[in-house]
Order: sequence, then C-alpha cells, then structure tokens
Amino acid sequence: MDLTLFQKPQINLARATPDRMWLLFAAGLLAVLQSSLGDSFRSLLLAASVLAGALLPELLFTVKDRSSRPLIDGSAAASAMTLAILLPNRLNPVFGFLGAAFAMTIIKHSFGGLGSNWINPAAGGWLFIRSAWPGAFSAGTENSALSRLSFFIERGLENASPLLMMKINGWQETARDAGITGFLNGTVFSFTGTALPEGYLSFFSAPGPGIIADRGLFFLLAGVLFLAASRSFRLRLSLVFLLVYSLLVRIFGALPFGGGFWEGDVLFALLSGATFAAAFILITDPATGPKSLTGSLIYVSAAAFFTWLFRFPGREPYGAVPAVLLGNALVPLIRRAENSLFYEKRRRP
Amino acid sequence: MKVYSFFRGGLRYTDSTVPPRSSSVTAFLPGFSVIPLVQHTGNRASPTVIVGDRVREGMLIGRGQGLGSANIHATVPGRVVRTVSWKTAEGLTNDAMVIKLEGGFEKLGRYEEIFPWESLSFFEIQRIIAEYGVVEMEGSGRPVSDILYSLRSVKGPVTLVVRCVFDDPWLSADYVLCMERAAAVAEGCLIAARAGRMDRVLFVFSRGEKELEPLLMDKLGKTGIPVDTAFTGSRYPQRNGRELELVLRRYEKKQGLELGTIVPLGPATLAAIHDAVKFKKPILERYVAVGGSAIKKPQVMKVRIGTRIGEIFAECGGFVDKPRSIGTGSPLMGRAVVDLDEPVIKTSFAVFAVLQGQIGFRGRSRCIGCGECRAVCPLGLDPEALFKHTLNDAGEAAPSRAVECHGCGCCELVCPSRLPLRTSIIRSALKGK
Repeated sequence: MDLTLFQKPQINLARATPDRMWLLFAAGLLAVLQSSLGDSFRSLLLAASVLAGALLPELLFTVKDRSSRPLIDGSAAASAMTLAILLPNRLNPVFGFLGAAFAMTIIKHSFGGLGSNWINPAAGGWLFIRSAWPGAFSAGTENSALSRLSFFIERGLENASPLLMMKINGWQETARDAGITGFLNGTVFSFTGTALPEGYLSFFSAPGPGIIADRGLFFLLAGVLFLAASRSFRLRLSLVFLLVYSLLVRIFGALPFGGGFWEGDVLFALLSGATFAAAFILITDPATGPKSLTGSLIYVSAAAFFTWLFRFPGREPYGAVPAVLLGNALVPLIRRAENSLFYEKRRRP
Repeated sequence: MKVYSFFRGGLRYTDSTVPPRSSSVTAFLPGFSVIPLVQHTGNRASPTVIVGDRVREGMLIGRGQGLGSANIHATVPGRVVRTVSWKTAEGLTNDAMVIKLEGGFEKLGRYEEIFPWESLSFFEIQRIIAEYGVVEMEGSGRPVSDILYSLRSVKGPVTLVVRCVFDDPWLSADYVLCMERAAAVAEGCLIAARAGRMDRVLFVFSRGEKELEPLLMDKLGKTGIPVDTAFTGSRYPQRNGRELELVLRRYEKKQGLELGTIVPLGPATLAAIHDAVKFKKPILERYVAVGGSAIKKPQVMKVRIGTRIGEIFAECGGFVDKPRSIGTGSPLMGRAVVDLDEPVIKTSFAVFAVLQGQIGFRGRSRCIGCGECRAVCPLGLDPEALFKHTLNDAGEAAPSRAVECHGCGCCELVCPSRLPLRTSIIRSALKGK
C-alpha cells in the first residue's frame, strides 16, 4: 500500500540519502583530483576504473530488480570513490575495477543491497585487492615513505621520531612547508609557546607514491569538513575515534621507534596511513555500525584500538582499514547486546 | 525558574516560514461558507437544516450523535444552498453544508450580552459547553463535554493544565490568541475548572514563551482554587500528552503537590469555553497561522469556520510558486489537503503551503540504518527495526513495543530515506501484526 498520503510530516528535516551519497562521492573526488595533479592523472584513471567497476554491477542489479531509479541514490558511486582513495595511486586500474566489482556484487548486493551489508563495501573491496593481489598492492606503494619506514624499522634502523626517520629515508618536504611552518610558529604557535617541526605540512600534499587518501589529504579534509557542516555523518564518532587513537599513539606510539611512554608522534599517526579517511568515512558508515550511541562509542573505540595495534605494534602502514573491518565484525555482537539492553524492553522514561 | 524537560529524544524545530507572532489580521467574511458536519473525533453530526433553509449566525445546523460527536453551528447568516461531500487525504468522507452569506449578523459587531457563570452549577456549565459544540481546538477535536463527563468517575484530585507549551513554531496562532485574548483564556480556565470540579489549575509555559505568564496571571483575578505555574523546555514533542505528563509528574514530586488526574487544555479551547459559557456563542471563528514557503505574506488571521482554504491563501497574497504540499495543522503532524475548497474547521490552528525546497527530498530510498530515528524517539524505540518488521509481513507477532508508539513523528522527520516509519508502525500496531 502506498502510504504517501497518510504520511504525516509534510516536511523532512534531514539531508536526503542520495544527497549524502553524492556529497561523499564529491569529497572523495576532491582527494583524487589533488592526487592526480602530482601523478599525471594516474589517480584519476584509477578512480574512473574503480567507478566503472562499481557502476556496472550496480546497473545489472538495477535491471534485474527492475528498479525505476537506476544509480540515482549515489551509493555505488560513493562506495567506488571511497575505495579509490584507499588504493595506491600506481595500482593497475584493472585491479581497481575488479575490487569495486567484488565490493558491489559480493559485499553489497549478496547481503541485500544498500543498508544491508555488514561490512563497508569499500573496505571489503580494499581487503579483496590486498589479499588477491598482494604483490600488485605492494608494488603500488613501493618506495612510498610509509612503506620505507616499515622497511627500516624491520631492519632495526630505529630512531626517535617516525618523521625524522622518514626524512632520513628520503621523505621529501614540499617547497612551501618551511615557509608556512615558520609563519605558523611565528603567529599562532608563538602564543602557546610551542613550535611545529618542519615536515608535517607536507603530509597535506604528499608527493611520491602512496594511497590517494594520503596524497590528497588537504582536499579530502576540505570535503570532509563540508560533509560535517552539512550533517551528513555523525561527527562525534569520528572525533572519538581520533581521540582514542591519538591517546594510544601518544602513550605507546614511540615504543616501536625506540622511544618511551608518552612520546608518540600523534601528528604523524593522524596525517598518514588513511587515518582521516577511516575516521570520517569508513567508521561513520551507518549501515555497518551499532544502533545506539553507547554501542557506537564502544565500536569506534575498538576500531581506534585496532588501528593503533595494526599500525604500531603490527607495523602495517594502512592498518586503519583492516581495523575498521575488524570493528565491523564486532557489530553483530554489539547490536545483540543493544537490542536486549535498550530496545526490546521498556525502559524508564 | 526551573525548567522541566523530557529526557530522551525529541528535536528542536524552527521554521522561518511561519507567520510572525506580533498580531492578527481579521479575514474577510466568506461569500460561501463550507461547514463540515465532522469537525470532531466521533460520528458525523446529524443535519438540522436542509437545502434552501435560512440560517442565522450561530444557529445549530448539525446535532452531535453520541460520544465524540459535537454540535455544529452556522458561522455566518444566510441560506443553505447545497450540501457537498468529499474524500479527505486519509480516504475518509466528509459532508458539509454550504451557506451563502445573506442577511444581518446577530453577533458580529454587536454588543455581546454577558451571562454570569459564577452561579451556575457544574452540570449546567457542562450542558452549555456541549450545546455550543466546544471541542479541543487541535488534534482530532475531542468534545470538551466528553472530557468533562469522563471526569465524573475519577477519584482523587483533578488538575486543569493550561497548555501554553509551544514546541512547534506553527502554534503561533495560539500564541497570538494568548496575547490578544488573555482575559478570555484566563477566565476560560476558571470556567473549565468549575465545570470539571477540578481542584487546581496549573499553567504550563514553555521556556521561550515565559512572557505569557504575567499576562495571563494578571487577568486571573480571584480564583478560589490554587493556581500554579510550571515551565517546560520547548523541544518537540513537549506539548504531547505523554511528554507533558512526564515532566508534570516530576514537577509534582519536586513541588510536593498532588496533581492527581491531569486534564490538559490549550488556550484556544479555553477561549472557546469562555465564549460559549459567558456569551452563549458557539465557535464561529478561530485564530489560524497561515504560512509556508509558498505563501507570499504569511500572517496569523482570525478566520470564520467554514472559510475555504483557497480564499485564505488569496488574502495572504497568493502563492509565490506552485506549492508542492498543502495542509492544515503543522507541517509536522498536520494532514494533507487535496482541494483548496476544503474549509477551515475548529481544529485548524494552521494552514500551510510549502514548496519543494521546504519539503526536502520527496522520493523514498532504502534504509541506510543511520540511526537518526532511534536518536530522536522520545520513547527509546527502535523505529528502524519496527518498520522493517512491518515490511517483512511474515505474519509474525509485532514486537511488543510497537504499541507504545504515540505517533509524534520525530522519526519520520529526520529519516534521510523518507520512510513512512511512524505511519507503518502505528498501522502495524493497530492491526496487531
């Protein structure tokens, strides 16, 4: 029965689902564009391939289901762009295409389509590519600052700061880094009596190979800010994730680099390894999260812990993505607890 | 000043397209009045006039038929020229008498004779209220006489709650009424308290409208029964019966009072009780907030019952563009209007016409499990799960909590996929599925 006429609220206060999806797509596209400017548009080609890989199965399912609104909800495009920014810019576009097709066919539609998948399709597609073609993925990030960092730590060449180690191992600062850092130290930070070391600002437009989310960090953050301002996702979950992760990094983050407790480099941990993409895009995916605020806080805290665990003790440069996947795996358990605690029985008013 | 609010859920709703609350404008008298025979919860009133009959202003034209039904009166003098019948958006049929304006007014512009009510018994006052067809001037329009009658079997104290809670900006007509007819509202509450043999009057104001307190209190004069005031938050749905009672029970505990049974009545209803008992006048007109993004000049108007909605819009300058949705009541919980010839009735506190931009996304997409419905549900329900259960339609028993839904509609308002959550849950609960 069509309930449109009975539907009481004549207005709707929320930003519509398709709008949210297309905004997410735009935020990802911004990062791709920034990354493309420094790699002769290889990132753009990869993103286009991933998009094609996502849209094709989506279109087939649309035809199969005889849906009258093909592709218009933007969910496939948003998932594709999220997957694209998690991939190395030098990855063969064919793998991107296959990963996206896997994400849409197996992870999204085999579980019932939009809102029914139990893990994030983009993160699932990333895991598929990483597991199916580990060599191709590693080749894509070869000689990237983060992979070399892991390499030197494994070799036992340890030093105090990851940034310093990256600099020693060929991390290139951008031309404007020193100038802007000096300006900030002379103005904003002079009031607090602190100083920002040179090199961190280069993370915002990281040159060299790496995943697109890291290479296009500045534009990605700009897009995410717009998403947050338009209330397209639950910002507080992202902030809790970043807070817990930062705290763990601050306390234990220096140990793998030969440092002590409370010496971890939080800025490095936040600005690299797709941390912001995980915090603002993957972790806030509503379909794969718990129901209640309490459950969500437990979920993001667990994901933050896993991110720290994989990235620092585990030395996996892009540990944020598998951390979110592991968090997704906990969600059914959390939801069961939530249902019995909060929703199935009547609570005190 | 302690402000009492319900704990869980709800939302703050603001709307820049509601009319200003500064003053009201009197609408033109309609050339043809459409007086529906159903303006209340119960059965259709039985007509007492036929086509061709002459009617006087305030004359009985429909007699209430049992519980939930109320008397209907002509709001203008003239001649009954035809009867009409139409289907509402909910699929219900309504009938109306169409009265062509003719002849002189007996009440409009005349000196109003005052009938002292202080010496009347509660039974006599109840009879007058029933005779003049006074109903709750919002919601479904439950007859006030039914409410008062139901109090006969109540044991323990009874408190009249004057519901000056404005959790919805579309209640601006009630606000203007309080400002312009404070004396009628104040005296109306004393009359209602007498009619229901109530023990106490409690004025409840929302935090944002505390300026109404001195205004109404000054007009009260000598009451004879205790009068108190309480303040609530203005988060929607604070005005709703459950949420109001929730905060009043906390107020009761904090103040060490015994409120007993609570009878909430809005200012418009109290003013109608005042007019019926003191002036022997049925509900001839009401304050209506006319607005929405499609209206050129939103304003609060004093409109005769039976005036067609199209005429009211015309008086507000017409439409800026083709409206996407037209309705009566608030856009939050009001009902859709399918024809501009539908009239203003006793419960139409607002009339709106909105453009596509104000409605937001009109299409429907799949649930993405965003959880916003859960976050705003004042009952702590899981509207998403209840909705999916109704879609499932596997013949399983409905989750027991579906019947708790009181239909405030918060979940639907914030659903980005525009799913009919409230509607489906209530229908499912009613079907016992």
